[in-house]
Amino acid sequence: MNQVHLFIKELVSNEQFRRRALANPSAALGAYRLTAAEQHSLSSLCFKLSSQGAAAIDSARAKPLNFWA
Amino acid sequence: MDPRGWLTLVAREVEAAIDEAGLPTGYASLLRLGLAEEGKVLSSNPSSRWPLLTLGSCEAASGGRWEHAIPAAAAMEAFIAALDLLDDLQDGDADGVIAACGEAQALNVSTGLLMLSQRMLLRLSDRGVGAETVLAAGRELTRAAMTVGGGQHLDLAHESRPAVSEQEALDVVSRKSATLVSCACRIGARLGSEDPAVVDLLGRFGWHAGMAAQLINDLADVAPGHPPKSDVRRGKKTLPLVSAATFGLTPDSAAPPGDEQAFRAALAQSGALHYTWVVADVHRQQAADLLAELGPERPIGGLLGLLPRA
Repeated sequence: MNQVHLFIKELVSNEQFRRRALANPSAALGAYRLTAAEQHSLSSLCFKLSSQGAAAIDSARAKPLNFWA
Repeated sequence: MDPRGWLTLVAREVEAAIDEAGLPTGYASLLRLGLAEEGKVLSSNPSSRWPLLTLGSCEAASGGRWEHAIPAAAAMEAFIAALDLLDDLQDGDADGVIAACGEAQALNVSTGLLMLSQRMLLRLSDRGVGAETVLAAGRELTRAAMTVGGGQHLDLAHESRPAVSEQEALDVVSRKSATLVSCACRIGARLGSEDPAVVDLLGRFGWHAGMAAQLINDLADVAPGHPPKSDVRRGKKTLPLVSAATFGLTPDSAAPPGDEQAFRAALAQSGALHYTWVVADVHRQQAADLLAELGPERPIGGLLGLLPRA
């Protein structure tokens, strides 16, 4: 598991950690060794989950480029 | 960038290239049908990003010129239409061309679209593009086609393997979608600038943009509430499905066999979709950062607007 895995694992399985992370992402992320881009994305994820709930991820829009896939 | 106006010009270029080929009427109609699938350039409501990536990259690289790149943008659209049709044939997915003429003729349509893309690249010389640059554009397209073919081989081979690593899953995304977007951008950049650093930068922008867009597509294809896709049923080894194991989710433990909706719900709770979103978002950030490196004098707003939003 890398550090992003570990953070997300805590986020989805530890209710106390989740509440802390959504309230103050920077503090929760401080315990993990992350690149600046990973920190930014995980902060955005916490913000989205805080404001939109589970739908933040489930509603990701498909097919922005009609890819061969 | 003027997406609607640009797509109209690309559609005219495609029509002209088909007309000049002197094809039997039925075959020409089927080529047009392949380019009229939802969102494609000959559809009633075109929204394809492929020509825009090429024209936008040319505009950004040159500082504003893009008109001479229209044949290359049309070539990218035909190239992608050919690959989309091949992919639908391989996956057994619904497709307007296959429905209209059957698999054998559809395979011939795909071949025709591939050749049409080559012809349209050669039409660059009609716009005053030099032979060296036309050759370079052709080299970009054929190199990408070979890489993508290798990626498709791995993708299909992975379906019959019980497990693949996250790195292997990401490698397929890199070889397929990311390579194609990078190719669309590099061709446009080559038509806009002779500076290899600019071409390389826009190619890397395209690679990251392609990674981000494909990962968001893969996420949406297995998220709860989205229309059924064949990814779960066929055992596709996309990042959200592969990373589920890292989060402790196995197909046996997740849901009763065949209950795809229950599996999707378990996947959403496992963290695998969150993880995929973060990996995609990191690539989106890196793509945006690369564009910023081009400098404030370059028109990059159009390309920024093409980045996927999750």
